[in-house]
Amino acid sequence: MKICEVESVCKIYGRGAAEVRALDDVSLVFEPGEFTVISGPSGSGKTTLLNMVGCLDTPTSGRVVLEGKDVSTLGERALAHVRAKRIGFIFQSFNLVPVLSALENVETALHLARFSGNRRKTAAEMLDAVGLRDQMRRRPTQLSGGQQQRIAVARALVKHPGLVIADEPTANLDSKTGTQILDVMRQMNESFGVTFLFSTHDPRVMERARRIVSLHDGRIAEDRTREKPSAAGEVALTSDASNESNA
Amino acid sequence: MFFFKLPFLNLLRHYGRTSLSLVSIILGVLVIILGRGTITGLRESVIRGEIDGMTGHVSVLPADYPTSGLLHPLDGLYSLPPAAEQWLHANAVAWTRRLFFAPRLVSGIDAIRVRAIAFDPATDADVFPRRDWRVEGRIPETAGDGVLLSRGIARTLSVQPGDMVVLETRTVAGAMNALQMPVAGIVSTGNPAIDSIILFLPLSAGEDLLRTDGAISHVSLLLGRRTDADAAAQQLQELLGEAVQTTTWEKEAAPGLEAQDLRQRFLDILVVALLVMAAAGIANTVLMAAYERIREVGTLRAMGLTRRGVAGLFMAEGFVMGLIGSLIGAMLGAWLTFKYSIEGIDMTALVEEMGSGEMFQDIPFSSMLYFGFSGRTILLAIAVGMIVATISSLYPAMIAARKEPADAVRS
Ligand SMILES: Nc1ncnc2c1ncn2[C@@H]1O[C@H](COP(=O)(O)OP(=O)(O)OP(=O)(O)O)[C@@H](O)[C@H]1O
Ligand SMILES: [Mg+2]
Repeated sequence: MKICEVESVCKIYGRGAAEVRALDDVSLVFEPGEFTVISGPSGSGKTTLLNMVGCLDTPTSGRVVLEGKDVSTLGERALAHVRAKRIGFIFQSFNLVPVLSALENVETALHLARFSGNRRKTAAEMLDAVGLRDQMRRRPTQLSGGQQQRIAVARALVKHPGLVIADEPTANLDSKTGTQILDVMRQMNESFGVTFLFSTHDPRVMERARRIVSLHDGRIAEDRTREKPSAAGEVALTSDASNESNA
Repeated sequence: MFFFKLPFLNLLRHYGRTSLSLVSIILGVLVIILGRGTITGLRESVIRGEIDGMTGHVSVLPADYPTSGLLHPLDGLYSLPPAAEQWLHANAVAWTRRLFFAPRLVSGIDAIRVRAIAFDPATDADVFPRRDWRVEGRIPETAGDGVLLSRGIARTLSVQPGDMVVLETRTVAGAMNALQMPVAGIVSTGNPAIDSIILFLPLSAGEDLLRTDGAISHVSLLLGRRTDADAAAQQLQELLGEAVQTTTWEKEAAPGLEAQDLRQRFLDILVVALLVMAAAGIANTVLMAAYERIREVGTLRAMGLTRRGVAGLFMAEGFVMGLIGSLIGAMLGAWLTFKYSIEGIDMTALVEEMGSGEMFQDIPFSSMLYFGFSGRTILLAIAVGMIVATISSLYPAMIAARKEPADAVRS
């Protein structure tokens, strides 16, 4: 089964003269375990596409089928349910709840997913897996940007979703930290088989992707799958110095 | 964890702002409790003033007796038949006779009209307690001891204990009579109805002056419970016939209580105004929180929180504020009302000042104000505070819930 099928999706914002066609007849299929980048210039519709796939928004026309289920016609509560159970989000500016500790932030995802096991223990294990064993009790404001994004990764993955949506996850991080975060995500992708869908302008993210979908003005300009992506640990094709830390 | 802890933590985030909203809730709840406590206390003070100073639980007086002013006609005076005395012995906890009349009181070249109460020295204090009395000089026991003047009269005539005064009145038969008597004492009771223009003298002296031959104007009695007054009044009325009328503390206190009803209404308006302010404060606090946290809320929605969940989160903040504010207000209010329900507030100075005017002459009133302590009022105030706080966060909660998650996480 495909993890997600986008069928002739259009998304139109505004009306009349102010009408913006953010997505224009986009069709895509994502397989389980993909590590795919959506690229394109600013305003090309990357966020809009991710929101459709992530069930944050519904298309004006066309269908989005998630794990075999048409989600484009679902109501607010049903969509919330799908997001809670099956989709993890990682945002550009981390978006952690500032009054909660790292551990509680991750637990919140389990709470909303109605996870029935030991939430505290499960959350702690996931924080351990992203390398935050010693910072679990701290609040986000007491942590660096990279550490905060690790919490966000743990929060997105702790409920074992089918799909993780990451909208420019490295844009607010320096290149070294961004690389580390990418490695963490790549590891998760490999060890849990979770599908990752990114939007990014960051060449390092693109290097790690097997598939790159380029958008332009709401249309697919290119959909390219490489034979051998430069995974973590491999020497990058570009001359970005920060990649050396992965060697 | 989520729905209990998060609102708490979020409220602590803006400690100062939250505290300000709390103050308004605390104030609202406090005013409800103190206001109701005061009014219950004032009502009780009016009732006690009536019972302790004027009427007892039940009074018997001549039929068609005037109810106000200084009119104390002598044509309806009566003596108790033996059957009535028997009934009183059997049914009243205490009872006493009084003879009201309105003599002229002369001191030197000054003279004023006063209300004279000739009392039975043996039984009067059993019905009309004197615990709040402050007496300069002493209370007359026999006809030779003289008269006890209220503070108001003593002030008007500038007399002191030991001075001589003359009482002028008509006898029952209509002849003029006068009696020179010493001033035995001067009394402040704290009850303006007494302190303004009343003069006490022993019943024997009054009978002497009016030549009543044992007839009296009033019989007042106390019962086991004041709620039995109506039934007792009815029985006495049947026993005594048409020549007399009976009255109860409740009837006599009614005009005084009407004034308290007005106060109650005024207080209600004040409370509503305060609660509206509290509601606006809370709505504003929660609204600010909602706008500040648009992205955070968007994130939670992306993680699967429903609209209803978002609204619940913000309403919980209002609820928690209401809970904390109400509890603090209720504790303060309970402590103050309890304290003053036991200690009382001495309003003697205030009452004396007001009592020198005509206004209070007909409203008996006790100078010690004891707050009414009522658990029900406190629970009511807590409930009102919490409901107001929760409801006022409804609108901001809906605003927060309405925001589309896709827009919220973008911002
Ligand atoms: N809520 C909205 N109302 C109106 N127009 C919108 C809205 N959201 C997005 N758009 C428009 O839709 C188009 C696509 O926006 P989108 O955010 O998907 O682009 P993007 O590729 O993510 O850009 P960036 O790289 O800057 O994040 C843009 O022209 C944008 O102005
Ligand atoms: Mg974008």
